[in-house]
Amino acid sequence: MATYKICDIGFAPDASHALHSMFKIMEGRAQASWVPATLDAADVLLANVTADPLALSAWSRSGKPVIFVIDERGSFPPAPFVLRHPVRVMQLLSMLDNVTEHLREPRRQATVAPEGTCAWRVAESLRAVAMHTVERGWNVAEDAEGAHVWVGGGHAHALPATLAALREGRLALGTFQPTTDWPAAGAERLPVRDLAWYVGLAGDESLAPWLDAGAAFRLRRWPDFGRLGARVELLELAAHAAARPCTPALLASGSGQPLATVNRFLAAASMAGLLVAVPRVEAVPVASTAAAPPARGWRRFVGDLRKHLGLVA
Amino acid sequence: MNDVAEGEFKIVFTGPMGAGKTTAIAAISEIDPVRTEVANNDRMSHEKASTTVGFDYGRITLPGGGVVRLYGTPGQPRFRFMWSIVGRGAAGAIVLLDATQPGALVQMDLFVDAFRPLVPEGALVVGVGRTTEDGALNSDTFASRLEARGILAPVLSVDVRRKADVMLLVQTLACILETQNGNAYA
Repeated sequence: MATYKICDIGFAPDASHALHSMFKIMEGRAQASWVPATLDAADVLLANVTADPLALSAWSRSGKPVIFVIDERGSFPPAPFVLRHPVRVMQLLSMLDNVTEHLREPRRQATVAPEGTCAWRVAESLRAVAMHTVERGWNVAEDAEGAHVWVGGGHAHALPATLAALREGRLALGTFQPTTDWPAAGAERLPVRDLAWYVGLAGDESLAPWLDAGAAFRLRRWPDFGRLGARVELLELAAHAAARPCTPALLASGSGQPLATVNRFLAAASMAGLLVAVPRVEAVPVASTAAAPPARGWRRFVGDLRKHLGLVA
Repeated sequence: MNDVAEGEFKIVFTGPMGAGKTTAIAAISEIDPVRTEVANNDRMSHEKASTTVGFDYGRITLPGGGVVRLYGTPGQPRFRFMWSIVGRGAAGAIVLLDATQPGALVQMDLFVDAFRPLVPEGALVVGVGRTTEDGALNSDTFASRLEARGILAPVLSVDVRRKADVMLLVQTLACILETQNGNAYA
């Protein structure tokens, strides 16, 4: 059994003590052994979302995983590993097993987008500033027509028309930059996790540079299509990615969607913290729903239902 | 009832009192829904004037002649005996919740636990209403709760008074069913 070192920051002493007790309770039950360590020695960081931004920023450059702990009613940050306070032992156990799977994957290097992939530069810049607190100042991105989106304190802020354009995929943002300006009067806010979803969907046709083309991915949680807005192809991809781990190629063949759409979906899910990479051995070929032979009643029936629901032209 | 070979297909809408089950069925049913409502004498649980005590029923006829039967369960736990009766043979279940209700998370657990065994694995969608109101839990909180329990089900913010939102719930369920059944043919 592997042993990983974990450091917790930003917690009150009693909460930190409770977390350490949980590590002991989980001994022998988790996929790996977890021992407390200093920040410098740790493999994984367990951080209160309000922890020292400088420490979080330094950690993010290490490329090692971080588990964020948010308040009971806090918005989820765009990160793959998030726990909500108060944390229960089984929740922590499940989360650490997910992190163990992540650590077993070949370490992905540099999350900096290659030059020329502007869409990924926007995504990378958002990933870098998404967790900044308002006290550290605002960051803003602008599109060619002068619309602005501010990010700070776990939320994105923009005028209603800009948010509508964002939701409809009509906003081509530049990279996020520090600003001394505050959001415009009348700006509305949305969780930065939702902004991350839209930025991911607006990404390049290629697989996001921080995702491994050889890895398999599964959804750990469905996107809230009621809040984010639904498109048929995204519903279908989510259904497939929720059912089993899939490589991008398998997801494309199984859903019948173009690889570019798959790549954008995976980027969006990853940016929004909804995606988990799993060891490729767990990925199983999926039957293409488009190519599946007609079964007695079912396929015809679902086909009719899809027509009724407007899921096909 | 869920005999697709015979062109029959059953979806169950469930959830606590006041979550909008009757409204949701009425939003997409092609017939005026059959209701079994009586005056609500449990005003402690919800202020609504009437509540379902048997089941609601609506219907959608598909282009190929198939029929989707929409059933709504009673929301009050004292009518729990009806849940397994109404849920038997369902192709999928849609759990509706009100995010402003005290104990909405516990209610979700109650209905998800009751209906998961009654439907094919994974064929369950959660719709949460009133998530934008003051003091309401957001949909992430519900999804997080399910995730912590090892349950992967869509949790969608909806307003069941809007037909498009109810259709989204059914569309999501249809995508899940199609994925499962497409895979079953492999």
